[in-house]
Amino acid sequence: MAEPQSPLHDVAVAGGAAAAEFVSPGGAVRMCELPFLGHFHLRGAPDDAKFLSQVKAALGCALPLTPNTTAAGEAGGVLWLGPDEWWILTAAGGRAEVLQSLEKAVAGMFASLIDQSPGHTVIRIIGEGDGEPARNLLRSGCTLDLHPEHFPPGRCAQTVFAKTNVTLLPAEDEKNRWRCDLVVRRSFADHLWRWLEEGAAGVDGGG
Amino acid sequence: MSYPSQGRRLPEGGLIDRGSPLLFHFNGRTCSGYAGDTLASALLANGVTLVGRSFKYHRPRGIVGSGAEEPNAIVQVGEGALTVPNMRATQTELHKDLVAASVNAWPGVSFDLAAAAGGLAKILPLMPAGFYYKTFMWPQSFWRHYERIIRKAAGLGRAPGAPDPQRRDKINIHCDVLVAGGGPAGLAAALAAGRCGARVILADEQFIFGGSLLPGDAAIDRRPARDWVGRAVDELRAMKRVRLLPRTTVCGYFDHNFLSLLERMPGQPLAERLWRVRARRVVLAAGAIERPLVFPNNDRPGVMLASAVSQYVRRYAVRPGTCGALFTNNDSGYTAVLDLLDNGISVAGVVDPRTTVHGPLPGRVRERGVKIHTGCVVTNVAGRRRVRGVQVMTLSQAGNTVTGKAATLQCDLLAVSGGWSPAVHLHAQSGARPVFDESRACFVPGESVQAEQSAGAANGVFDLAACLAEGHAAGAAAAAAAGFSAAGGGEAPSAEPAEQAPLMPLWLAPAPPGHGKRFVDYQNDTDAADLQLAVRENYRAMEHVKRYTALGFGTDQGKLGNINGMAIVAAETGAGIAATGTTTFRPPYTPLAFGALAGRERGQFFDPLRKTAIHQWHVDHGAEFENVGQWKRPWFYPRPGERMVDAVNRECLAARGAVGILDAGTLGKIDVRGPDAAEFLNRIYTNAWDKLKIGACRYGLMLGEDGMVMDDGVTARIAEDRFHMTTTTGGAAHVLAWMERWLQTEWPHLRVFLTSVTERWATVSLAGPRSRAVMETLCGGIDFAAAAFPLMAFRDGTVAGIAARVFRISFSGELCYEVNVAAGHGRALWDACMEAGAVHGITPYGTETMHVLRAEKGYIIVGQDTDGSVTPMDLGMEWILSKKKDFLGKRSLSRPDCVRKDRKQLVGLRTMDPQEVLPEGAQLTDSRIVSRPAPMVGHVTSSYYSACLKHSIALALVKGGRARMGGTVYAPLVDGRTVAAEVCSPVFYDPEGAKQNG
Repeated sequence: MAEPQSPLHDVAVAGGAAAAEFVSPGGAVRMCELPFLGHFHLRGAPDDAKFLSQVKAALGCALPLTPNTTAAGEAGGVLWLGPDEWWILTAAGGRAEVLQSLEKAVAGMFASLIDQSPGHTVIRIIGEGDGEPARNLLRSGCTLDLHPEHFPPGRCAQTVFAKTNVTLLPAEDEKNRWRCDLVVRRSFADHLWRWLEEGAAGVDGGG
Repeated sequence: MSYPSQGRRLPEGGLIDRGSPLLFHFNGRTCSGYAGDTLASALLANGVTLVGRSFKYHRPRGIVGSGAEEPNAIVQVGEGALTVPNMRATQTELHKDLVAASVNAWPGVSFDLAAAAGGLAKILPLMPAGFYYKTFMWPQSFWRHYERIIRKAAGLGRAPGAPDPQRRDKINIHCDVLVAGGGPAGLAAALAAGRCGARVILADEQFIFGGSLLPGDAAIDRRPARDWVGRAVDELRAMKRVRLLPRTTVCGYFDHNFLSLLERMPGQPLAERLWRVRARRVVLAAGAIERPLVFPNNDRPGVMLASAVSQYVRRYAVRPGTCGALFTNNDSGYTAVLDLLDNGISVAGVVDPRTTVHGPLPGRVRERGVKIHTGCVVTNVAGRRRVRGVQVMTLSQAGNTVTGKAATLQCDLLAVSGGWSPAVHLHAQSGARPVFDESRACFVPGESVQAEQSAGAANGVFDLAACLAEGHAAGAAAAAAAGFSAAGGGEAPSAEPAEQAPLMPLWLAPAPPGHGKRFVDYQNDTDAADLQLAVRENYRAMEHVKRYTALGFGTDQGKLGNINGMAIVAAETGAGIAATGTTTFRPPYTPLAFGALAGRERGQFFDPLRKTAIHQWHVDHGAEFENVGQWKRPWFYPRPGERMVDAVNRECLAARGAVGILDAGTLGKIDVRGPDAAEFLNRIYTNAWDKLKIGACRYGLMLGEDGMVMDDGVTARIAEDRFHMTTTTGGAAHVLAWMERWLQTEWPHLRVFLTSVTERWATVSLAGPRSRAVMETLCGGIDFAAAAFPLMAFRDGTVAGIAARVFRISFSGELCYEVNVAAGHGRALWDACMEAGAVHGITPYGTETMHVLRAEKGYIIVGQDTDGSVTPMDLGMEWILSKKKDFLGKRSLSRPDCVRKDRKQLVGLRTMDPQEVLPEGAQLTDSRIVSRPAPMVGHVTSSYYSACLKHSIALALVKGGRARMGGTVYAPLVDGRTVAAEVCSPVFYDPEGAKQNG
């Protein structure tokens, strides 16, 4: 089977890299695509103990039941999207195995598990320094309070960003840099990428 | 470089950088100023006193104020694409090579045709109050003449003619405390809130903080106030949670403590930024605007607010005149006299209507030997293009007339002060109502309706010591309300309380008979007589008077004149000022460019462009695109030298004769899953779904509750409890939301999950007699024989080695396969199809060919052949309406209007001339020659040239259409011709369906 193309394949090709990447003119904002992650869309009853326990066994972590929070398991992260709706993100490698064990876990139940991996991607924004320029870039596209006190790691938010539906996932990386992952639908990825690239010039004084 | 001398610049002082001279151009004249100047202060330094002409009378006008209130110095700044109309020179920061011109003077300020003729009032005789109502309403046909003259004569600036080359952006920000205004109260508030640990934004419209402290010589904490401002700003800057925004106007206050701020960054790559702030608490410390006085010929250039005189003399080191006078009804105005005297400018006298004038400030003026004409008012101003002197008369005992012999003061500058109006604009925008305070004779903030508090002069507190205390308390209280301990706010800054005698309200100075015009609104030339006339004509509500007289209609929104105007109306009606009230304060506080609101959302970022997984191939192969919803879809693929019609004809013939290939990835796809999925579809669609076999597909029609066609598509049964629904490209989001609404609000007991999977799949459609051959080359594990894989079935297998689901469905009437693969493999699939199809003449086709092919088959497009007023019966689709079950919209279909015999019905049209293609949207009539208005019997919904059939085809909705088969209708065209067409079946091609079933 041929190699799949990520939603930002053409950006990567134009940049001569394996995956799309970008550094703002002043260096304060870094951006890259995390292609081919596992994106699994799970629906099920939150009051069904069997559903919760079997999914927990498959993922290695309990489904978060608090709105707009995330849980981290062995396989990856789980995002609360709604009272009966979760988004499971896994690393590119091993994505088939996670899907398989989840399918097994919900088999025969009133639940819906859909592999949305081909239709989604993640754009990662990394803020150098105090992260303010990176946050300002995101602030120009969305109305949420992104201050780390109000939107700390462990939270997620579904919102409209630059007229595009995205899910935001803040984190602090190993170098203590603020970062935020944007889960975006495939057909909007190119628009969002170009919008972020163009906007980055305005927030770090570089352009 | 040589700089023109600034003849009116004081030798020293001011907050200007004399080391940074700047050249600029005003009305074609090259002038020089300094960094730290505004355009207005630089113009005064260059002796420019005439800056515009008034709107109605074209009277010469000069600079009146020093900030947002300025009504006269309205200028066009910049050239070409960068030009900005209607800027206030008093708020325009001077920069190198600034180019500005008066907006309200045609053809020029000094030589003005309209003024030569006596103003617009002479060109258009009689322009009293209600001029617009009285004149423009009748005769209506004359409006175009009035308009042409008025637009040109009135000026009002030019919009740029080219796209904006500047970068503008928006930013959304949240804070605990937003402080609007960086004067003494605002700085004290920001300091207190910031020290408490709150997230604070402090915005001020000027390029430096300090507000009223900038020109003054006050002391704070026993040191010069300017030093305190510097220390305060330094302290705030050092706080990580405080954001200082100079050059930023808080321009709008909306619901839920949402405010918009416009930040200007002249000379920066980012020219402007609109801050969209969501604040937990707001402190309004916007200061106050000095009121002018209303007396005869009070619009002469050289009549200036007393506070503006102080600003120009002390902050900008400019001499606004050579000999001044003051007309004031309060003590604060006397500051201007002291400022003039301190800088070597003589003062001819002070005119004060109060009979006893005491207090420290007038006392100091008296000590300097300036005569105070107590109990007097100014009754005339001499001079036309510049004040030459003022006439002074004594107020009568009752205070409503003037008596005695007029005295004259020789001067070329008249400072005026009628008291102060707190800038309650933002408070009022927040939904609160300012109330009139009789003791202070001004409108002050009323009860708050949002989480805001006014402080300082904006709250009617004019004494510096009180301003500082109130600002500090407001900042600490706001921080506490936002959840911080107010104890951290520290000490409030202190100042010596100053004693001021009360002002004497003087809304309209009495004048002798035959007096000149007493202007209230300079920008709109509204004078006191206009307001009085409006009241005599029974306009009593302030909002009506405003519209009748144009009071406050200018770009300054009446910041200067409105309060005087309201008081004059109140006196005339006898209702009192409190009952008369203000007009509505609307955002923005000062004008802003549309570009600031648009930000980056223009051009390619106006709306998202959605791209399919195969997009780049289409680009590389020269496709022309069309927008379908937000999607970019290939429209047609012209070869070199081909016109659109050539390309479409070629693509159509290829699909009919061999095989065409279409990127169909944009179709909406929804996964419908759960034990009640079939029952759910029964309710959503008009036809029945329980009996659909696994592996089979069915066409479905969705109706709105009104019974009108809403969407259509093919849905396949993947498993007992699982369906794959397709929707129209543009309707996908709406259909999902529609179904979710029913599921969540009306049928929560149905166990169904709906999930959009549009993005998950790439879809490639192969249509044409050779499509089977191409599929057979590419596929393993699927039997493509007609019997094994019939129309309206799907099979899972691999195509070109890629896991695929192949649907045999047809929107073209041809043998057709739609191949769905994981989106990431869409491009590989497409490439493999192109390669395998090469020997069969595979031809990519776009949406235009798709439309022609389906129209040849009479297949509708929802939204093109339907418009929300079309039932399934109108389309001849009764066959799809189940009689055995209920479905959304069913009940509406039996409404009398839905079963009328003369409803418009879908038919085909064949033009008598086979080459004539009717325009879509063309109206149809019953006869060739019609009288106007013609009775219309229908309209064309789709129309194309069919290369395959070698004649034009059209679909139309025609009244009682199905009973008119074989009859003729006529389409009168815009070009004057009338085209005749025969009514026929909407199915033009292969009515038996042999091709798609083959």
